[in-house]
Amino acid sequence: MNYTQEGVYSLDLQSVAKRIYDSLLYRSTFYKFLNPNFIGELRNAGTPMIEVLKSAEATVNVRETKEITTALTPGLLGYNSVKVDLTELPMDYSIQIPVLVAGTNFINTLENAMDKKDQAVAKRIDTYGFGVLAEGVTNEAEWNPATKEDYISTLTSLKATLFNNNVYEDYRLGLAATEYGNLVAALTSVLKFETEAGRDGVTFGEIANAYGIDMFPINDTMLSDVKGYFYNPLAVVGDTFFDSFVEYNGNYPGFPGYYVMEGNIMFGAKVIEEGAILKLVDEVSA
Amino acid sequence: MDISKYITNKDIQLSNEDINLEKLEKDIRKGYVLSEELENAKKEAIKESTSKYSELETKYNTLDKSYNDLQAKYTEQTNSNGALKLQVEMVSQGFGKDKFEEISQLRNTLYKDEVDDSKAISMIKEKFGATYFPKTETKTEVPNESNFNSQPKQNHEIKITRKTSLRDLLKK
Repeated sequence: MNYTQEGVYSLDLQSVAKRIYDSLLYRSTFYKFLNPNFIGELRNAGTPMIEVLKSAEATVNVRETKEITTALTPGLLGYNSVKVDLTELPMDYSIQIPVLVAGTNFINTLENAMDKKDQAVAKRIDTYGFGVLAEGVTNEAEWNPATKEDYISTLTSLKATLFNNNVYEDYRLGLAATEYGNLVAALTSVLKFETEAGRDGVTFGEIANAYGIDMFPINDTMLSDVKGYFYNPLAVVGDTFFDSFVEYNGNYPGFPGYYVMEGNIMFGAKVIEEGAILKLVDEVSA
Repeated sequence: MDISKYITNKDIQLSNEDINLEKLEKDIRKGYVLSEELENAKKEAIKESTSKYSELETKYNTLDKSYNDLQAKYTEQTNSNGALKLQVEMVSQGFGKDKFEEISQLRNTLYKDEVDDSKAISMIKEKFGATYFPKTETKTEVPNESNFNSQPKQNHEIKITRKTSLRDLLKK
C-alpha cells in the first residue's frame, strides 16, 4: 500500500536512534548532571553497563636525600570499579501512525510524533534520575536564603564546600524552578549593570552564570523535599541504551497500512562521587 | 549354348563336347560384369569411395580445427604481446599496475590512430598528467619539541542532531 505521496518510507534506524539520543541530551534536565565523559556517543552495542574505573588516591613519598640512594617504591595502582547498570529504567519507544493521520505529509507527522515521544521519554528519565539523586546523595547543604545578600553568601559557601572536597572547577547548580526564579531575580538586582558579567548576563539572559556557576531550573514536580543540587558533573554517571529498533512500513501485523516504529530504550544512573554533589534542603538533617 | 551355330566353316565338325565351354565363357567374360551383378558392383564401389571420402573429411576437419586453434593461440599471443609491450611502456613512463587497464583503454580509443605505443603513452601522460601524477605538496615537519603526539584527526562521520530532518535519514 502506497499511503504517502512519495511512497512507503524506510528509515535508517541507526541514524534515527542518534537523532533520538541527541534530542534526549537536549530535553532532559537530568542529563546535565551526568558525567560528560560517559555520554554523547550512541550506546547500542555491547553490554548495557558503564564501568567507572577508580584507583586509590596517590600518595607522595618525600625523600630525605636529593640523590636516590635506595630503591624507589612506586605506588601500585589497584583495580577497583563501580558499575552503572543502564537497564534500570526500560522504556518502550513505540509510535503507531494510522493511514488517516499520516495523510499526505508522512514525514512531518512522524517527526512530530517523535518529538512528543522524545519529550515524554526525557521527562521519564528526569523523574527516574532525580529519584536516584534523592536516594544516592548523602551530603546536604542548606538553601534558605532570605535576603538578596543571602543568595550571594549561600552560593559562595556552596562553592567553598565543594572546593574543600577537592572539586576545583565546573560548579553547577540545579534548582527547583520557583527557587531558580527567585535566585535570578535576586542576582539581577544585586549585580545590576555594575559589572561586565552583570551587563552581559542581563543582555544574554545568562545572569545566573555570573558567579562562575552554571545554573539551570529543574521541574518542581520532580523534586520532593529537596530544593536542588549543587555539584560537579563527575559526581553522577549514567546514560541511555538503545536496543531493538524496528519499523513496519504499513505491514504491521493486523493493522494494514499503519506505520509502526518500535524500540527499546533503557536508562540507568548512579552517584559515584559523593563528595562532589550536595543536596540542597531547607534545613540540614542532624 | 550350341557351338555349332557359331561355326562358319562348315567343314569343321565340332560339338559342345569338344570344347570346354565353361572355361571359354569365363575367358570371354574376363573384364566384364554380369548385368545381374552390375547393381551390386556399383553399390560396392560407392560404398568404398564414400568411406574413403569420409575418412578424408575427418582428417580434414581435424587439420582445420588444429589450424584454427593455432590461429586463435597466435592471435591471443599477439594481443598479449601487444598488451605486455604496452605495459612495459607504461611502467617505463611511470604508471602503476593499478592504472594499466584504464590507460590501455585510453590508448585504444582516444589514441588509436597513433601507431607507436611509446608516443601514445607519452601523449596520455602529457594530457592527463595531473590526474595520474598529482603533485604532492611537501609538508614541513613542525618540530615536536614538547613531544606531543599530534595524530591527524580521523574523518568524522556526519553528525546527526535532534534538528536533523527525518527526510535526510531515509534509506536511499
